Amino acid sequence: MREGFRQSMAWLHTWSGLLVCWVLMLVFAAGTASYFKEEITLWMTPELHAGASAPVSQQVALERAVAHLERNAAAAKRWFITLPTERSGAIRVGWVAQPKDGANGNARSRFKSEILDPATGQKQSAARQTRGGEFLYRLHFDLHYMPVVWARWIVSICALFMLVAIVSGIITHKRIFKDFFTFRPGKGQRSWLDAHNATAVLALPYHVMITYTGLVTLMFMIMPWGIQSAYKEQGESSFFAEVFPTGAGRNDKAGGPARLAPLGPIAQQAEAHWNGARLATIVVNDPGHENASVVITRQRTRTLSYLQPAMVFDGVTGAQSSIVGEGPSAVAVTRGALYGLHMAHFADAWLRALFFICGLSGCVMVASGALLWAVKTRQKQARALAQGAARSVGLRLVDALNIGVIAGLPIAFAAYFWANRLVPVDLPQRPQMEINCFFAAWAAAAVLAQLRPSMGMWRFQLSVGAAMLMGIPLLNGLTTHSHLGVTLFQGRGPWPVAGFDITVLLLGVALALVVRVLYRREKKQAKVPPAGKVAAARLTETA
Amino acid sequence: MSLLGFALALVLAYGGWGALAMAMDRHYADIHGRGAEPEPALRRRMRGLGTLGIVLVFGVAVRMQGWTIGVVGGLGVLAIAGVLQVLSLTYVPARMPWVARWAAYAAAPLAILWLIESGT
Amino acid sequence: MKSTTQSGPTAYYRLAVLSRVVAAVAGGYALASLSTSLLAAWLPMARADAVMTATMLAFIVFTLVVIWVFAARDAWRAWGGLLLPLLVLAGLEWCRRSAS
Repeated sequence: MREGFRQSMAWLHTWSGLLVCWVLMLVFAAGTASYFKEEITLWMTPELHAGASAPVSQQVALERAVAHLERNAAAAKRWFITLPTERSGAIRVGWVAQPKDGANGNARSRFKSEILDPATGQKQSAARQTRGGEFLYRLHFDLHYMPVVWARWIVSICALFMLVAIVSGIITHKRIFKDFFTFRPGKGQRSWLDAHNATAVLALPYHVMITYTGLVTLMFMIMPWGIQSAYKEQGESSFFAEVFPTGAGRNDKAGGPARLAPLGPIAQQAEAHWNGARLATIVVNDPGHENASVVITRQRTRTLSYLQPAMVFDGVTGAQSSIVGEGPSAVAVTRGALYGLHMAHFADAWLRALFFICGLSGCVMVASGALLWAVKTRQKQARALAQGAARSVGLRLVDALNIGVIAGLPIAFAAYFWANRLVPVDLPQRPQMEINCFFAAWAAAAVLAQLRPSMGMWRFQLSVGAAMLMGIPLLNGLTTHSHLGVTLFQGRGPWPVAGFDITVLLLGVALALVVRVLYRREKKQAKVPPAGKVAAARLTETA
Repeated sequence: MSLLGFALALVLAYGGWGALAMAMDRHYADIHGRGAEPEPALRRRMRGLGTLGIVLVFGVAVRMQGWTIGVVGGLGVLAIAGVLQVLSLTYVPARMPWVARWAAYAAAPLAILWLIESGT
Repeated sequence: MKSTTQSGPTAYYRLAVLSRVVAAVAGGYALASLSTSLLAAWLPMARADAVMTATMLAFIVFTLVVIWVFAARDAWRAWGGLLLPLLVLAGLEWCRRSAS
C-alpha cells in the first residue's frame, strides 16, 4: 500500500468491490429487472392477457374506487387510490386501518391493498394473486426476510462501497482511453480484466449515475444530520412535509364524524388547475371525519424530475386548502431529477430497454470483477495447487460465492417465474409461496456451491439456469394461451408478454453459450497428455 | 424515441466509435497488422469524424427527447454501440472499417427518413 | 518496515490496513455528517434547499475521505490528514450548537 497512488487505488478498488460484490449482484439483477416491473407483473397474471378491458375515464375509475372503499374500508384512517396509467390499466386501492386502541404501531403493517377491474369496479378476482414484478423491485432495496430498515442500511453501505470502487477504479485505470475498445478473449486473467474494464467503462456514466442516485433515494435515512441541524425546533416532520407533498394534510386528530365530500368535483378542480393533466394518486386522510383531507398528485409527466405537485382539499367542504410542491426550487428540482434518473419513470419503451441493457452490463461488470479476483488469486496459488494442495480458505469461499450468486441468481429468477405458472391459483398465501420458491432455489444453488465449488459445479448450475430460462416460454405455452405463438406470431399481443418471453429466452441462450464455451475448454484440456495436464490444469482452471 | 431515430443514432455512434478506434495505435494495428501506425493526417481526420459522429448522436437524441432525457438516451446508445465496436474489433477487426464506413453511409438516408417521420 | 515476509503480510502491515479502514469508514462518515450538519445550517439558501444540498453532497465528501485515507503515504499520515479537518469541523459544529 505504500507503493504509490495508482497501486493504492488498485488495492482500494479490489477490496471495496470484493467485500460487497455478491450483494451488489443481487441489487443490480433485481434492479435491472424492475425497469420492467409492470410488464413482469402483467406476464405473471395471465388471466388479464386476453382483451384488456377498454380504458375508462379517470372520473369513472375514481367513482368506482370510492364506491369500493366505502363498502370495504369505511372506518380506515387513510385511503389510497391509484388511477390507471398507460402502463398499468387497473385501479389500485389501498387503505391503512385505524390503529387499535391507542397502539399506534407500524402503519405499514396495517396497510391493505387491492386491485380493481376498471370495467366493473369489483376486486379483480380473476387474476391470480402474485407480487409480480413488484417483488423484484422491492427486493433490490428492501431485500427480504428482514426489517426494511436493516435492508436499506445494508444496501446503502454496499452502495457507498460501490461509489468508492468506481472512483478508485477510474483512478487506477491508467489506460482508460487507450484500452477503450480492448478485449482479448481466451487469455485467462487478461480476458477477465478486459471484460471488467469494457463493461465498466463503456457504461460508466450509467454506473456512476445509478450508484449515486441510489444513495440519493435513501439519503435522508443514512444522512439525517442536515435535517437535525436545520430543523431542530420544528422537528423532522416539518421538513418532510415541505419536501414530500403527499404527506401533506395529515392530522393526528380525526375529529367527529362528518360526511366525506364527493371526490369527483374535487378531482375535476385539480384537473382544471393542471390544465387537464392526468391525475395519479388520491389520498384521503380520515375519511368520514371532520378533519378529513384529500391530497391529489399529478401523474408523472415525461420530465426528468420525479417530483410532482400535490393539491390539498378539505375533505368535508371540498374546498382547496393548499398546493404543495408547485414551483419547486432549483435544488428541489435537482433532487427530483436525481431521484427520477434512478427510477427512470420518464423512459419510454426504447429508453427503458437501453437502461435495461446498461443494468445488465452492470451485472457483468460486478461478476467479472469477482471472477477476475478468483482467477488472479488462483494464479498466485498455482504452484501450491499444482502440487496437490487445496485452495486457500479465502479462494474457496470466493469460488463458492461466485458460483452461488453468478450462476445461482438466474436459477432463482427462473424459479420465481416457474412457480408463478405452476403454483395452484387458489392456494392461500400464494404470493409468499412464489417468493419462497425464489429463495429456496437460490439457497439450493448456494449450498451446493459451498459443498463443491468446482468447474463442474459451474457447468452444472449454468446449465440448469439456461435450461430453466429457456424453458419459460415453453412453460408459458403449456400453461397459458398467451405464449409466443399467439402474442408474437399471431401478432395479438399483449406485447409486453411477448417481450418477456423473448428476453428470458435470450438470457437463457446466453447462459447456454457460456456453458458451451466451458465444455469446449474442458474437452481441450482432456486431450492434453498426462505430463502436461498439471500445467494445463493450472492454466485452464484460471479462466 | 422511434425505431428510425434509434437506428440512426446507433449507426452514427458505431461509425463515430469506429473512426476514433482507427485513430488509435492498438486498433489500427488490429486492423492493418502489427506495428502499423496511422499517419498523422489520417489520425486527425479519423478523430474529427469520430467526434462529429458522437456529437450527432446527441443531436439526434436531444431532438427526439429534449435536453435532459435526450442526453441520457444518447449516452445509452453510445454504450451499446461501444459494446458492438468492442466485439467487432475483437472478432472481425479487418472488417470493422468497412462496416463503420457503411454505417456512416446509411446514416444519410436514415436521417432523411427520420426527419420526414418526425415532421421537419 | 517490510510489508510482507516469507509467510505473508506482517502483523504490522495488517494493523496499518485495519487502522486505515477504521479511519476511512468511521472518519468518512463522521466528516460527511459534520459537513452535512454545518452546510444545512449555514448555506445561504432556503432551509429545505440547504438541507437537500448538504445531504446530496455528503456522499462526495465520504468518497473523497476514503480516497484520501488510502492514498496517504502511510497510516500515520492518513490519520493526521483526517483528524485535522475532523477537529476543525467538530469545533465549528460545537460553535453552531451553542449559538442556536
